[in-house]
Amino acid sequence: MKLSKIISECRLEKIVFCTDCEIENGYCGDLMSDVMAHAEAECIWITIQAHKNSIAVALIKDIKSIVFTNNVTVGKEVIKKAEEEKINLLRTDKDSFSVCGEIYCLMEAETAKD
Amino acid sequence: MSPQLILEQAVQKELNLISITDHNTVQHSILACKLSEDLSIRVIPGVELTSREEVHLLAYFPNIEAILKMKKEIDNYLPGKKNNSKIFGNQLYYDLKGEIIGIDDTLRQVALNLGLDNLVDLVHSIEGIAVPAHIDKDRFSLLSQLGFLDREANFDAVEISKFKWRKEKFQLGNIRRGFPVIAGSDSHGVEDIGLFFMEDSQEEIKDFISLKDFLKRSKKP
Repeated sequence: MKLSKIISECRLEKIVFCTDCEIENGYCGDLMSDVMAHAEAECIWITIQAHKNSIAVALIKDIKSIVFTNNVTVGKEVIKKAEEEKINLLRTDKDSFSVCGEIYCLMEAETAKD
Repeated sequence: MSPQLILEQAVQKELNLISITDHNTVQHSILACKLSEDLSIRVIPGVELTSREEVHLLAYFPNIEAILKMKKEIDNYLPGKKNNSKIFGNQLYYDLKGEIIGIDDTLRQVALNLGLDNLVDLVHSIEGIAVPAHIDKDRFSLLSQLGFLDREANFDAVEISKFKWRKEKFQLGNIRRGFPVIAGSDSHGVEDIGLFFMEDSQEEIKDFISLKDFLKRSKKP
């Protein structure tokens, strides 16, 4: 599924949008070590952890899209780093549980079509 | 632990310079500073802050005026919920003589709604020193919450646990990834006071200013 479809269906706010990549799976987690251990490459990562180190974790794991939940403030440094590294940053006022549910349902529906 | 009891112990253990850094509260740190005016021991006003990422950050300040500014910010960024004493215990207020004068019913074992880097900037804006606490611990530490230590971060030092200090035979002035290391006793009870302390063989760190200066000189760009 195209990231742009997830963005419009879940009404996510675009903070940094560089590439409309293909999303096939997702991961939700706020502990960097957990994400590094379990997230798959090119997944969409849902987290409240809007820190510069999240961008570094995304780079290590080849994650191209991050959704920050709970309307968390995203600092200038984080945005700058994401732009440099071409990582899509999205934000929502929903909590992680709700937005994971929405994205999951979208992806399931897409798989059912195939 | 009343500030009066802490100072009594610290003097007995022949410590020269201490700081009381309670979680997201400054009251007792201020009391200890006032008490120390009549003693030879020096006390740096301090607090242990919790960032949005649940990283514990030690903050030290030049004077009571500065830490009172920090108090305002803490109140501003705390969620404003009530403490549950069954889980976190009662947060007692003491006076200068060590008498209990009240109970703080604000929930303080919780994160401030401010990211770590912004919190560091805030501490700096009121002339304080910002030091991520016990970075090697598996809970509430920079490494447990954020995975690794960013060389470009604006910390003045990093605190490692006393266990690591002993094991790796650290000394004041040692550097880790560009940051000077410090350690404290992290005393949560009277019996811990003085069981761990840093030795300043040059006898140059006597107060906040000389500490800040020492860390600044030690830091590797």
